[in-house]
Amino acid sequence: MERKKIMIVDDAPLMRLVIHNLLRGDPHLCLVAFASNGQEALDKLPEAEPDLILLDLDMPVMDGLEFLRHARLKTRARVVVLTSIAPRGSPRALQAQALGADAVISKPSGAVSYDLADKAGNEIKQTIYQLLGITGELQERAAGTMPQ
Amino acid sequence: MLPLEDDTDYSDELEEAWEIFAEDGKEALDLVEEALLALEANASQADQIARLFRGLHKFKGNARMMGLSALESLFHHAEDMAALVRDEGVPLTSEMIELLLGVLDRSRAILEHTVAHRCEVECTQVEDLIQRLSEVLDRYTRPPSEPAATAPISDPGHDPLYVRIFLEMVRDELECLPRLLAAVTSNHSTQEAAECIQKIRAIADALSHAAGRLGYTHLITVLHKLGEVVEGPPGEERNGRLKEAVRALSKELADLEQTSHALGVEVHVDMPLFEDWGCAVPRDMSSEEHVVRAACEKMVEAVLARLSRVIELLTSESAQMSWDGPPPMTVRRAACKAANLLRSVYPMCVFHKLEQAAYLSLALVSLYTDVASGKLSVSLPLLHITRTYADALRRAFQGPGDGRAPEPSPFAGLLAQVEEMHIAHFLARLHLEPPGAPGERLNLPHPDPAPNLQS
Repeated sequence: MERKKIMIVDDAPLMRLVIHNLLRGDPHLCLVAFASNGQEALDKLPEAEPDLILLDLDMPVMDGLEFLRHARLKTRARVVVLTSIAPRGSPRALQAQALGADAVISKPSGAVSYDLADKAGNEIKQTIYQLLGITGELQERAAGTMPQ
Repeated sequence: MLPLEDDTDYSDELEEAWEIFAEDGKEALDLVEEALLALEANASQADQIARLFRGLHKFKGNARMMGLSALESLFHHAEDMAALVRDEGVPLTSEMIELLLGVLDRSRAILEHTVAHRCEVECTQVEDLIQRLSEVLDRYTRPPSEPAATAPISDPGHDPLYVRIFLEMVRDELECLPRLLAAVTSNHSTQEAAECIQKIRAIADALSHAAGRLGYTHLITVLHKLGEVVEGPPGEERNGRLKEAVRALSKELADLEQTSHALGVEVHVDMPLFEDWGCAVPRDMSSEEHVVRAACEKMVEAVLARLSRVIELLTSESAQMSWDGPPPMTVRRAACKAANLLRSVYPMCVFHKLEQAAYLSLALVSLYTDVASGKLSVSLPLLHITRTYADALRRAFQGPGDGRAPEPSPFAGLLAQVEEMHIAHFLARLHLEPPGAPGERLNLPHPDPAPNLQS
């Protein structure tokens, strides 16, 4: 099975590092592109052709909500909003979903530390697996109910 | 798969994370400071408020990522206060600026300590600031209400933001379409043609996907048709169907552009190159213009059919008369008809922006009028030029449509020949003969023996 391609759009290098570490070594996911704002992401879309985009909302140049409008027309990729300013159920999260986001997840807290990384990353991975149709054993593994 | 260029060594991830936190954190605090200083000078600058919010938000996000809860909480409160100003219309007071400058000073010191010792500071070190921020927030925050659920956009096809994005996308995608179509229709079996077919298919798919999201069902049908037709077996039939598909696409897009104007969206989809490909589709064509264009094409066809019959008659008559003799009435009446027919071609040429063809029609009208009035004898060169002009005009109105590349315009050469004829006519009226017979000067078939121009 070909690995699913993931693109991350976030202006925070720390977040990009966390996601990089989270997805590294995953047999079914591959990080293909970084972008630090929505416009840069749009420019990279044709070459990267991601299956799923992890998107921050608050970014310079073009923010996540504006990017969502473009993404709805310009890509078939699923979009997961990953943000600390839009907890689920907040108006901003609902706005993101109205604009076509497939899911809104809170950014992981303490995700750089080894002990917290797995726990924080589980929700992200589970959501990615679910949206990309990766099921069964892999999903259980992501949920932490099965030994790695 | 695109290889991700990342030359970072992740062997010591945590160490790297601390380095990024130190560097990025300092940048975020600098951004906050710059924005606050600018706001002190002029508190109404929306872009500075946006920068202030972004700096606070970035620092909070990084602290959260590092698991530094005291800093995260402090910046969460500061961010909420900036959000009141940015989103709720609360005025930025000097108290708020002073408070945020206090947060900034404390944070710089904490950042330095935290990075140096790789550990979190005690919550007590920021409690006073959090308390003061909470007081300001309580003062301005409205009682919490149920967040209004934002319904999914029910009709994005009529949402100006989406329409603008779509039209800009169409404009960008169509930029290379005429070139691709020309390559496909002129090279039936080359690798380049195959690649161009794939690209056209990809353009049709991308636009079809976007049109689907906006509910433009007619446009989807037209784009699917284009994608199907271009992959059909090469040949005249495929090219004819391709031409129809492109025309239908142009019409749909022209209609969409008209509709978008009503929504206040002013994005022009520039399609001038369709003319170069030979589809004869002008830019900015409304549905009414399509009707006028179709009527023009039919009218030109009818006029040219009648003109051909008149030229045949004139050729036959001119073969029976002496070359320089005065034109008989049958010839003069036929020339009058030819002049009238050529005159009726003029407005259609103008409508189709065929400027040289329009000018030629008037130049020929002038010559045939002289024949009709007996001032000029009908000549083989004149008949030959008229026939060539009619053929070229027919092709110009129809477009190539048979897989050939567009021809260079033949009208410029004809124009030179007609001007030469006018000069010869002028000199003849002054009883001055230019060197060489008219046919030789114009490089036309020799009149002797009696020509058979009907073949």
